[in-house]
Amino acid sequence: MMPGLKELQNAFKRNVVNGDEEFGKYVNTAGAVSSDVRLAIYGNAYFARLEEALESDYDILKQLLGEDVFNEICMAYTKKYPSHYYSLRWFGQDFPAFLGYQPDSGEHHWPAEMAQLEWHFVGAFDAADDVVATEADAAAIAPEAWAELKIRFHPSVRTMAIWWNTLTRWRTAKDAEIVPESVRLLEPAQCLLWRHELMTQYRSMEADEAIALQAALAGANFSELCGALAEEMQDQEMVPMKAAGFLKTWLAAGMISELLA
Amino acid sequence: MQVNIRSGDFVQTEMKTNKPFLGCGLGLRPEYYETIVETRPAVDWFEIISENYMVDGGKPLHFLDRVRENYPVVMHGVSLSIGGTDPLDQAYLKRLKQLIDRVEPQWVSDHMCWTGQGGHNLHDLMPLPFNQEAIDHVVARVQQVQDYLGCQILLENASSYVSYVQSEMTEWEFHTEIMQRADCLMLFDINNIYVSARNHGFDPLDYIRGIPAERVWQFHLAGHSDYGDYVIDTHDHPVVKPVWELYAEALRHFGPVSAMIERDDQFPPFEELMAELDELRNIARDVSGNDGPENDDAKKREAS
Repeated sequence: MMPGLKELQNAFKRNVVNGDEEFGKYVNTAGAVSSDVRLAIYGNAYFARLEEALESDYDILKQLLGEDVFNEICMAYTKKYPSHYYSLRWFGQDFPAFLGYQPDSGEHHWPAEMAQLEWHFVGAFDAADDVVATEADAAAIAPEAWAELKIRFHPSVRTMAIWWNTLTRWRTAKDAEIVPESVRLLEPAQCLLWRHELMTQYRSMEADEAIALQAALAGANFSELCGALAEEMQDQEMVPMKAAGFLKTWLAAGMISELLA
Repeated sequence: MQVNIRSGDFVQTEMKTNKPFLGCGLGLRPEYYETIVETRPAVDWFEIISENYMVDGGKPLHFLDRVRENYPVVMHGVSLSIGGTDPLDQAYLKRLKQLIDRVEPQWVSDHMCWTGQGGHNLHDLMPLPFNQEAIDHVVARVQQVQDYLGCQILLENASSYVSYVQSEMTEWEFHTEIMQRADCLMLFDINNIYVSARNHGFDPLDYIRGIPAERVWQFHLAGHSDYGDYVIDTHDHPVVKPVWELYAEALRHFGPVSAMIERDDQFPPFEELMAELDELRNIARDVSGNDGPENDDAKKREAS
């Protein structure tokens, strides 16, 4: 009995993905080109297309690992994480985890961290559009409303802890400069990514700014943000001024969509 | 109730369709965003790859909106999987409809193919067997999609490298029966017909003559990679002479049809694409006496 459409597609898929030979018997063999060559066109295109998607998302990682190693990793990833998405935009989202990224403990090697950084760039690039608040919006807030003020950040804002010299290596590779060897940092640093006027931005943060930003991103109001900062700072009198300074920096960078007074 | 009719039984009836004619267009690709927005070239219309704009924001949607302000746009998808045996992807259809609402395209197209099975997306345009089972299957799904989107869709003939022993008819008979029964339209890819004709040994003119003219609303032209014994549809070269010749034949058979050039790799300077577009216009003018829409905004842009 001839297989139905579903069985044919399943057999064809298995041929494309892992070279299963069953489908070969359903392919016409007339002509100068063998069915193996014809089927290989699909098999080769399948992996090439997925690898191209990963290259596009992780181009610096590929540059640093070299083509052969990157190719090998892509092959393994493609086998472990077949695409379940209608768009290739999402195919690479498990790549950092596949490489062993450990966001909390930092017990990962540098490629995992580089992959996570690059995936954040992808996310910031096409995150939702939103309005951008300005210093004039902050100036319009009544003094008595500041304690309860909450901040709604632009949807593109992302943060990540960095345990390796990943930011320096990413920047030097991007600028075609000499890339330093990978080294683990003595203390983890904090990295900030966002999009402003269509361009993705990034920079590292000092510990106090990272604490303030994490608190605000988690929904803390200005008073609570100052409280979190006070635990970090020696000079308590400087806390409100420091917090206001961060707010001004974030506004100027286009990271804030709305001040909720 | 579905009536099974053999493809040979069809009589080409006069369809009272108002086939729009957009003129000569190009595929909108990120490599050319700035050039197009800043210089507003004399292109009659643009085609987008729908999935590239199924994102939340940023550059892709920004430039799409800017281009749409000045040009007609059609939407071309690669993930509908109209011939797939998994259920239609409702999340995809919802996102497609949202994009349609944003873009207000002249029309929406995808491919006569399947793209995955068992939830595993191959991200390729996989061929179908040309038989009654596949026809019944695709017709029912096209009807579902058209009902959901509230419009007719165009389906493109995909290029192929294998044919099934289960096929019972030619590709053009298969495509025609589906269009007649599902009342959908065709994106006639001239390069794909050249590629498939070379790979399977049929006469591309038979394909052209086998498709009812009133169903063909759009042409694609593109380059390919020629390996001698077989040809792969790569969209990374200029259109070759035999494909230009087939385009002229298609115009003779179908009359004026909105045509465009696809380029998806080895992107040349924009001027080179514009030179290919001139060739597209010249052939349209020579063969059908019509190379652009009557109300030709592109020419106004050029004059200004």
